[in-house]
Amino acid sequence: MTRSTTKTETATPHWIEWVTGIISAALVGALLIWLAYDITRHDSSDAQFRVRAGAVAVVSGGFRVSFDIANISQASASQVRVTGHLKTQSGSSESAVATFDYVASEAQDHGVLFFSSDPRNGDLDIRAESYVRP
Amino acid sequence: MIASNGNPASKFLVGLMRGLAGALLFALPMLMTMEMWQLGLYASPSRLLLLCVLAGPLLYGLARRIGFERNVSRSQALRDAVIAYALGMVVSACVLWMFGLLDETLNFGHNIAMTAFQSVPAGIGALLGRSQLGVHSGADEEQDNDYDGESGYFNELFMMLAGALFMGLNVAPTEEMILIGYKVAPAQTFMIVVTSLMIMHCFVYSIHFRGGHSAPEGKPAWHMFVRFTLPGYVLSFLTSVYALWTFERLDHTSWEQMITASVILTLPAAIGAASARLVL
Repeated sequence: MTRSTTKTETATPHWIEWVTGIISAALVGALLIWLAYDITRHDSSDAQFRVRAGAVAVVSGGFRVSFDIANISQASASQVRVTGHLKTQSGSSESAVATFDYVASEAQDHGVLFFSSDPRNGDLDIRAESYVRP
Repeated sequence: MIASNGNPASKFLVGLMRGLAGALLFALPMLMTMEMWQLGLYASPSRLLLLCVLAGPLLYGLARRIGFERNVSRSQALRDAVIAYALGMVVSACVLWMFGLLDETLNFGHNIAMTAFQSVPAGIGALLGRSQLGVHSGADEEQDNDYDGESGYFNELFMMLAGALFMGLNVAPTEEMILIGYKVAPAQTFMIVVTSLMIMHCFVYSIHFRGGHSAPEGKPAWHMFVRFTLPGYVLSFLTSVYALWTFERLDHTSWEQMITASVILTLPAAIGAASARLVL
């Protein structure tokens, strides 16, 4: 089954082999150019996040607040912990935490926090609290 | 023991057993990978369906070349592809059940999805088993030689695609793929591309593996690089993108990370593609 001898490629290839090869060379070339560009702009400084609260919805036993997190740096982060602190008008406060396994460089992700009080009637602060380098 | 004599039924049964052995040999690492089990719980049903549908033509194409018997008619290849797929499903379901992974605590759909994800590589393994586990049968060896020299250009590309997909499916679901993607710097990613191309070319043309290829007399090596290695790399890269997308490894991430993860997966996929040219 495995061939026991070396197979010699044809010396007179069909033109489609060259067309396929040239298109492939262009694609691989484009990939290498992109990576070379990425090398020149690479910045290994610490990760930075932007967190934005989204819609509030009523769920069984409380309220859910969706949020978007964007890593605006070129450093990826793992174990990104996002905390939401809610201070209600009555003076009580509560917290909720969501942890992302990874937030890639220049990428966005989405999460949800749950509260027992209505965040629309209070002061809600959602922010990235900690992360570790992958 | 089943002897591979001239009886067609007996030969087919031997082929079937090899298929079963191949499915186990090639799919067991994936069947014992936690991320592959978890895929059944969260992966998109539409992506799973697409994988299962695309597995059909892939297995058919492989069966045309390396079916359970050395028959190449379309109907027999179709039969072999269906049997390989079925073997893949049976082996996957049995092994997952034996490991206690299919149970009533999961809903029925999750059990099915978990098995379906595994059945594609196991089905490929079943067909590869026919090809690779039959090397010690003298009768088959003689028979197989009849097929040498038949492979055309698209045949080579198809085999590279199959090899890349098989390796890609093995590695793409693992957490390590993503972690490596986050750890490498762009300069290292660049080096991975260059290394993949070099390995791919050397595997087939330079280090004289059994089944290796050589450039025709008087033609420079770069001709082979452009005609075969570069298209093989592009196919491996596209296959890697597809595997990562299927396993939801490209969701919620940036273009940069998508390209990086694809380049990293293309390294084993390119080796799989090159190996397929040698052994299939």
